[in-house]
Amino acid sequence: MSLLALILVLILSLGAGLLLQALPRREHALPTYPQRAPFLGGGEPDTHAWSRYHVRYYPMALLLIAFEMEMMFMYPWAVVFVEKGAMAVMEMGMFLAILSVGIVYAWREGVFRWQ
Amino acid sequence: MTYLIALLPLILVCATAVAVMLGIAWQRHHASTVLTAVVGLNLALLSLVAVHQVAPFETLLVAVDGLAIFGAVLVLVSTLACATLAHAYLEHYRGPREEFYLLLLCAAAGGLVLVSSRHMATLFFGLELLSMPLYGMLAYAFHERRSLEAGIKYLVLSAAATAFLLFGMALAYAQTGRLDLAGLTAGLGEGGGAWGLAGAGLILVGLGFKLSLVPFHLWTPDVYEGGPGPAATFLASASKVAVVIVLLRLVIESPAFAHVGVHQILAVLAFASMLIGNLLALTQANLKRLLGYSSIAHFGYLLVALVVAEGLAVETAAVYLVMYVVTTLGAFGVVTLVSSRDISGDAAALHHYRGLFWRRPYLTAVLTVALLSLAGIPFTAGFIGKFYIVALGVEAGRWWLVGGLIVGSAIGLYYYLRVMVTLYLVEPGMQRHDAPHDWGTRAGGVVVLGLAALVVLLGVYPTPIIEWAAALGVAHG
Repeated sequence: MSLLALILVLILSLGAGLLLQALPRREHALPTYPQRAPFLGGGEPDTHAWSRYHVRYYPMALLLIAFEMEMMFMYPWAVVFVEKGAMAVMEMGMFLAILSVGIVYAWREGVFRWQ
Repeated sequence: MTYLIALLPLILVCATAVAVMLGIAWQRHHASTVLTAVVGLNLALLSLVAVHQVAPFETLLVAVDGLAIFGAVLVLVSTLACATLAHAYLEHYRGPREEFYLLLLCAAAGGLVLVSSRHMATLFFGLELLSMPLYGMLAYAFHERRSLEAGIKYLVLSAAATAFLLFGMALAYAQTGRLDLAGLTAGLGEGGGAWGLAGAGLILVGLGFKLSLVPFHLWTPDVYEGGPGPAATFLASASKVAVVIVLLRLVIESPAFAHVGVHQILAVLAFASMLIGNLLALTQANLKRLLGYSSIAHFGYLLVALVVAEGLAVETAAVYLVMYVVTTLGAFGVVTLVSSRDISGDAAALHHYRGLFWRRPYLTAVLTVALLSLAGIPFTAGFIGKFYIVALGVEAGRWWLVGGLIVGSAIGLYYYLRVMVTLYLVEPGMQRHDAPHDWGTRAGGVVVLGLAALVVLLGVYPTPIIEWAAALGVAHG
């Protein structure tokens, strides 16, 4: 029975994939240039939508992990702490220490400097 | 206390990674970073002696048994070789050099977790900890197009493979409600039902990708070619060893993998990997791509042991792994040393090696020995490994696989010999594109020479390795 279901899932996903391939891509032809330009309140866009820009969010995201992610673990840890006591404190302390090494590293690499 | 001793190698490697990170934050210094990393890895290797005393040690998540210690030794030795080769390679690299060792240590920690995992959580965690730093290591020379391409290619494809792996785990969990190997074994019973089988198949896809078995092998040559020498070395040695060991554990312990259907699939994968890997290697004009294709074929050979999965299978796989790792480290080590002076990209095209013998005779000797061993010529380590595989296949009556192995080796001999002939050709106006003059007295050169000596030594006197492999204990959940 479950083998039948498995095969059904396979066929369905295969069919959906093929259907996507077979469906017509676009009903109408693309509009010509003035209509196609992105709407910018009347002005002409001076960069392409695919232009390159500096991703400063990337170090920000890493910093967020170093600073904030341990909070996520601290909520369940608070429950475990009631049971285990000092040992849980030591374990969390080790975890925080390793994380803070990451922060020290990021600091020395100049992530906190506003450029 | 037993806990601490059993996990000591892992703790030491992680502590070394933290120490290296603090060291970089305090002051950047290439040589001292390498020294810290190498000392930490050596301490971890030494601590394995203590681990051996407490050896069959199990928790819910890890099983530190003979197989795990064996895998840990191979992972740590390959990481050590990569660290010393990276020192030679990165010396002329402009840009931050120290972070490479940080990534290397994190990946080694992942490998240590993976070889001793007996729970899907540690399996997944170890596999990701092993792969994530590899993305960074492969794209380390990111101002070069090829290196960046290798890193991104491996990242995207590996993420897809991980999705398969996770879905397989989810199906197995849906069937049994357990995630540890012992629980899976109990829950799946004989065969394991359709969902258990589908789960096993999907897990096999995920692990097969990491081992670059044939239908999942497309990334291998590009990533090997593009990645910087030491990163490709790590990918070819430590990363694959750890995954093979976890696959071995799964095949031996889990009944879903003992199912006839899964065995047939494994046999087909092995046969296809041997033939296609060798055939595709025939026309390569780039040594790193050639080694990539040859590694596909070699893991096809190794898979024969997993297909048989009884009798001497573990011993065979262990012997073959040792021989493969020593040989591959030697071959990639030479490529890395030859590339170490290069400004843009690695010196991997075959014409870079034309007439290398007349400029660097000893380095050429090392490469020749490594290639002979890869081809499986007697009196080298590769022969012993291949002999074991053939003996196991004949014993189990897997004639198709033995035939594939023999045909594959015959094809392999051609392209390995082609490289060797290139090494000894003379040509006027040869390119001066090789290792620094004093390569032999530096750490990387010493490592490569030692590996070549080991290849020959193990080929002539393999008894210690065979005894070690025969005594491997696998903890049964």
